[in-house]
Amino acid sequence: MNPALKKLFAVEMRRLWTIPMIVLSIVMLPLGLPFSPIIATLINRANHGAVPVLNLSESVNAIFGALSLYGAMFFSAGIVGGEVKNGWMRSVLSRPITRQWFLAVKMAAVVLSVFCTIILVAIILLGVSAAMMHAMPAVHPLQLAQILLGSLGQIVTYVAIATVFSCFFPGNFNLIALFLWEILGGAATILVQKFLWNNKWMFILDDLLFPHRLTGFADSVLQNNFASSDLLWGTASLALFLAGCFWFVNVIQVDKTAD
Amino acid sequence: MEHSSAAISVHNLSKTFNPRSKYPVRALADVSFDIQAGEIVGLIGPNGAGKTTFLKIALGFLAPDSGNVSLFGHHPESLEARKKIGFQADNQFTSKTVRVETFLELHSLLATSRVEPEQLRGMLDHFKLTGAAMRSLASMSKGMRQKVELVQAFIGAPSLVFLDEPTGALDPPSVFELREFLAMRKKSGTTILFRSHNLTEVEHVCDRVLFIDSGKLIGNYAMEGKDSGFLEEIFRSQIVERKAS
Repeated sequence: MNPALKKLFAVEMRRLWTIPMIVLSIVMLPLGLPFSPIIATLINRANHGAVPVLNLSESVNAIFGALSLYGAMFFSAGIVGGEVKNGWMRSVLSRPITRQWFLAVKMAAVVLSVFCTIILVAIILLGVSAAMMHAMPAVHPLQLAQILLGSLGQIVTYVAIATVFSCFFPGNFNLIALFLWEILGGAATILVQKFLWNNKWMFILDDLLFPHRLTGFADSVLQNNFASSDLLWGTASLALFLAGCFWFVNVIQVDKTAD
Repeated sequence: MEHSSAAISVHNLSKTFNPRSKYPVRALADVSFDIQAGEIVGLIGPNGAGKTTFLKIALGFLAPDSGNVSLFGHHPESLEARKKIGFQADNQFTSKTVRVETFLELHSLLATSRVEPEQLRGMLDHFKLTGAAMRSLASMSKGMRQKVELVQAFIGAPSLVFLDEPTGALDPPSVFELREFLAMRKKSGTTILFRSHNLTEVEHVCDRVLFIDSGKLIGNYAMEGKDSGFLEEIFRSQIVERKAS
């Protein structure tokens, strides 16, 4: 890897891992609690019921499903708009580096931060669960790898959507925009299913603009299916948003200081 | 893109902000000039004259409506041009997590793909920043931060350097250090565009001065043999002309 890009990546990671981000990452721990078997174990114990079986793939999928959006929101706040505002983008881009490489390095740092944070949350929650159950979880490496791949793809998709918003909204507003987009996506899916269930173009549009198919792929892996259509649609949507953010970053004004 | 021997070549450059609005702002109107390699050229003019807009276009951060700028014959946003330039910004980036040393190493790697510790140390010494290398950018005073930005601009010995209000936050000893430093760079053939409101400093440092007002280039003065206070006179006469018109 180019030493300049490696250094830029290291600087971006250092800039991401500030005290507020560490606090927000710790906040993700209780958010993931309902999706780990801890609460079910406690309730069953209180009722003298059987201790549930700890299925690692199922729990990891549930924790990623619950936290990916929040993680992406926290870490990708101001990913472009904030950098234009604080002058970092102008400073770096005065050097021989393209906007696309700059954005690729930034997005890689954000995605890695989100992914590692959720992995850490999952390790802590599942470690506590295993200790409470006095049992080692059942591990299916291939299934787990596919779930992690689907979840990683979903995180990249969320970060790409946040990046597209950040090209147009100042500062950290992309964080709210991504959240609203997710709510809108949920509403659109319900509407399409309820009223336009036989209109395939609406389904296609819904899948592309409000993408959840990579999460769907991870879910299907749990059912011992390999939903290639989910994987393909999810990847298509991811490609659409990645193309969008790399296109928009090329046309925005990177220096908004006044004359 | 036309190839030229000039360090900066500007042809019929125009830019209007909010052109369809009720109150369009004409920032640059048909500006043309050349800056030859090795020159130190001052860019002066009243507030809102179009100096910053010109810098943004010359650095490839803003697209003009018409006309073009080339840096050593290359488009400003091309990597070929970027390899040859340095830029000191007036509004500087600050961060609690980025140290001066890291910031300068990153710029060095981006500029030349390598870090030259001797060169960095020499420049930090010149600006009396050696002891500040491990401090974060946010912990520095405005003046010290400006000196870091100046060091950053000259990393990798660029052929062309854009300085945006380089003396704005500097104390007098630092201004003298900067003068010495610029004289050294001039000897090594570096071209410098020096945007400033500090007329005394522009007179001290520059070979030539471009005067921009209301988006137009209204003066292009060689500074050799000019008395101290020449630029102030120019400014005063422009104010009188403006009032008259």
